[in-house]
Amino acid sequence: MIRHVFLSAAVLAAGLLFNAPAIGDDPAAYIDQPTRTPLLSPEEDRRPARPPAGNPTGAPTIPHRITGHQLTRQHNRCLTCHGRDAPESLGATPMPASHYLDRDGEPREPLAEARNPCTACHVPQLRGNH
Amino acid sequence: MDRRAFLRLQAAALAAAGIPLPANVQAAALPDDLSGITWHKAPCRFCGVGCGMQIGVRNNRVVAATGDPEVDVNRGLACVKGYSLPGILYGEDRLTRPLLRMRDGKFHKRGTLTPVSWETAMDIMADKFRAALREHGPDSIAMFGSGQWTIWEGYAANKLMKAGFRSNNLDPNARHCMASAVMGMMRTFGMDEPPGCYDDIEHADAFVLWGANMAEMHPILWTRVSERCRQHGAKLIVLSTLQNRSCDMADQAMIFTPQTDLIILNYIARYLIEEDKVDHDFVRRHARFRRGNADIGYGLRPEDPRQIAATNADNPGGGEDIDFEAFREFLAPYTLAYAARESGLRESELETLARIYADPDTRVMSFWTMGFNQHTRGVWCNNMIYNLHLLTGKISTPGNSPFSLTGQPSACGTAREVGTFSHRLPADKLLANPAHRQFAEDVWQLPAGTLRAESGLSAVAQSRALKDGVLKVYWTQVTNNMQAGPNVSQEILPGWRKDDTFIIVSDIYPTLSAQAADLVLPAASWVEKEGAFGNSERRTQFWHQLVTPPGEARSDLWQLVALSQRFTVDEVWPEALLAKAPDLRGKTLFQVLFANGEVDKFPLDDDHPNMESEALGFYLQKGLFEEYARFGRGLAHDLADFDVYHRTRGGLRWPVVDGQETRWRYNGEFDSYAKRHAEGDEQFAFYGHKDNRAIIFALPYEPAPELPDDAYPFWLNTGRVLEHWHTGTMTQQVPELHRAVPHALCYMHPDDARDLALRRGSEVEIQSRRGKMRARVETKGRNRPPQGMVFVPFFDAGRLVNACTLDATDPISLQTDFKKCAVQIRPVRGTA
Repeated sequence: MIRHVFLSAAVLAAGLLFNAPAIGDDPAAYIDQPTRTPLLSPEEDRRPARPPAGNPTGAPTIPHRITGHQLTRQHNRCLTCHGRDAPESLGATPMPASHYLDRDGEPREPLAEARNPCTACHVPQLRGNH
Repeated sequence: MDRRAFLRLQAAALAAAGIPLPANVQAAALPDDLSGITWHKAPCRFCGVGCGMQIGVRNNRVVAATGDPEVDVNRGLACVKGYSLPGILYGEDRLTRPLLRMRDGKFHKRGTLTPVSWETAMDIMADKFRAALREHGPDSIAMFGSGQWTIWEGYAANKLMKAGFRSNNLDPNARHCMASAVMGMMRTFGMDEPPGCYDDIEHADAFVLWGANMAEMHPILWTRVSERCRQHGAKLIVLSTLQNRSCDMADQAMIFTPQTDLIILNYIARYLIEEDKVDHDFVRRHARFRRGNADIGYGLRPEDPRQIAATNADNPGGGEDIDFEAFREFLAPYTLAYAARESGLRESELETLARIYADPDTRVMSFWTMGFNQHTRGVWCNNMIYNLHLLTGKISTPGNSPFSLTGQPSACGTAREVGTFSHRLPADKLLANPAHRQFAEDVWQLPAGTLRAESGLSAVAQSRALKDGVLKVYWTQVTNNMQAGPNVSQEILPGWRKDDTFIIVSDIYPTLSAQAADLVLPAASWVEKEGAFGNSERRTQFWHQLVTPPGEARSDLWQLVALSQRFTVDEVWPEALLAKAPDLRGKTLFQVLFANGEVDKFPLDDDHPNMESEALGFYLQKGLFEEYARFGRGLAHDLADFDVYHRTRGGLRWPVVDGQETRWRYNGEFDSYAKRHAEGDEQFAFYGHKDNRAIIFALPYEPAPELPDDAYPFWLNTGRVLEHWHTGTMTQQVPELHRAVPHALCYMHPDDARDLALRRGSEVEIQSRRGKMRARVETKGRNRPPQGMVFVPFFDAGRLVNACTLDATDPISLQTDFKKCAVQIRPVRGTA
């Protein structure tokens, strides 16, 4: 489905090369871009977390907005809700045990430093049927 | 461990009861999802980091993927692309049959892509090759391959093109990716690929990123850097021309004016000398000095005024030997004040950076990728970073490591080590070197003179030659140059659509390239075939075929072999050559190249069948690998036995000597070749050069070929995003990746947006002297360019940024600079 939408854009982009006419004097015409550029979508705040590609061993997507959330060397906003000390009443999924072990398997707090770049594995989802 | 975490882990353990399950699978896994899965090892399909994965297969389908805890690269971790691997093979529009452009039942250049049989496809392909070879000679055919080829695919293509068809017009897309790194290492060390390895990360006291956004492009290596910094207090300095995610984790982010990296590098070298921080003992024993030719042009067409004006355009790689004093004098203009003024950085920032290299107690690891390599002075940048490590002796010891990262999973293993560049042979050997050609002819059992000396056409030159009518037949595999190549509308598409060219594209999906081709061959991908990749740290990793490809899709290796079966040497070799090898007369290229007594000498592996070998009746991949390995064994490129790699999770880093991998080259403590070459009790030997010395290069600053001006006032910078691989062909098949980053955006400084009366989300037209595209403005995203620059990723076929880029290259490496050209930004009226 995703690909289908993408491809229609690509076919447009390629100027219907599947059925190619002569190239003529203006090759640029063949890679004219779509006339409609999709709007920026806000991050989805309702879609449930799920691993990519249905991979049962994959890292779940982020089921809420993270716009404006700091994720820097000094501050990791994700821990506020997903860390060990987060109040259970928030209902956020706690990080699994693996996230408290470093490269050598030693325990680390408040999370394993290697796991600090959360968005390397967990990605937010945008709203809309792209 | 807290109670919740423990319960989740326990649930996973119960779920896993009774089945072989990697120890580190996510706790959220449900029992039903994992039943009946068998697990196998394979490296990830995507980037050059080369994470070891455990791949879950059920009912002939990849259904799961997780990081392999036994592999040191990633120790169980995987990024979101790695976790998405089960989705990349099964898109709805997967190519499953050959497609030929036809009208009225036969090939027509202006026809419609129509399903045909493999027999028809290979026959017309062979006819087109045959006609071009007969009418125009071997220089009228070309092939564009990939750093995503498996090792044996690249090796088979190398043999078929350079020895079979006797055309050196074979180049990999790695030319767009790290050719500058190759030439940098060849010039400095006389050998390709990094002295160190990833283990340096766990030993370093400081990391300096020079144009490498590791946080997005090498995410799992980045987790190791993150651990070293946060847990052990290592410093992290990020040099970049825009703010990015790597900057977010840095102690100091230094945003410099494009192209002034050359000045910064020379400033640091000058600082080291003037502040007496040079390790003179190391330099005297292990280095020498050379001045490289300056004013070398920009790899543009010869009639371009910028080429005509360049005094050394005809000898960009030349130079002369100098001494330390001459090097010191050469650096005199690169003062702190000059560097600060030109780069836009504060003097204090520059001094902090210089001190990291200067401090003898700080072990430094320098990383770079496309910021240095996609640069019209990319080879120089590479040479100049080695200058800093050589001047201070901070090299080839744990934690002291100038480290060139690669983009593709086998840019090293295939493009570089197999030598699929248009001037190379396996194991760093060169077509231009008569002894190297003879070595290859001996290994390949071919008559002397089979191989030709002159370099073939490189990536950009191939596109130009197609447009100019020099090339008639062009075959691409595992690459999408119609989207990823530079200056698409002026320099790539015209040649593909000329009436008298024939373009063959092998791919798994209908990419822009496939849509522009005359013949589309449906390929098998990754674990649909047996494969091997080599990652950035010289690590070779193997996998078995785990599933069958869909429909009639066949691997690139199968396709190469199938074409070779359709030619006899009599058709493609001159009489003089045939006369030297009368026993080869009448044989097919398949018999000469692949059924030569070496490649076909291993029996099938009944436990791990693969389709190519089953069809031929011998273990093709093993035969190709073992023949290939003869190029490097005993010559400092030693590869282990084929079977060892299949047994070893995570593979091994070459040279593999007596079963032991090599982590630090050129250091006798770790590298047996260094020990062998070192004179007396010397610890180091840079044995790529006969005198065991690495070369420190005097190279100046020179400006970029196209600068922002009144008409085109913005720098255009292009690149990737974490969630998508290159042109998005595979990753856009995965809904979660697509929804994370559905479209390419125009990242821009908020003040520039305001000045153009734009807001976040406004639609803009980005126009260069070559082409244009449209995108939405993003002022708050992950990339935050300084004023005067926009950044647009290239994964999105609907927003083709390479319509705008300039096909200028580094004149030595012939690699395109995708990071710098000039554009104007116009609001599109009537949109929000």
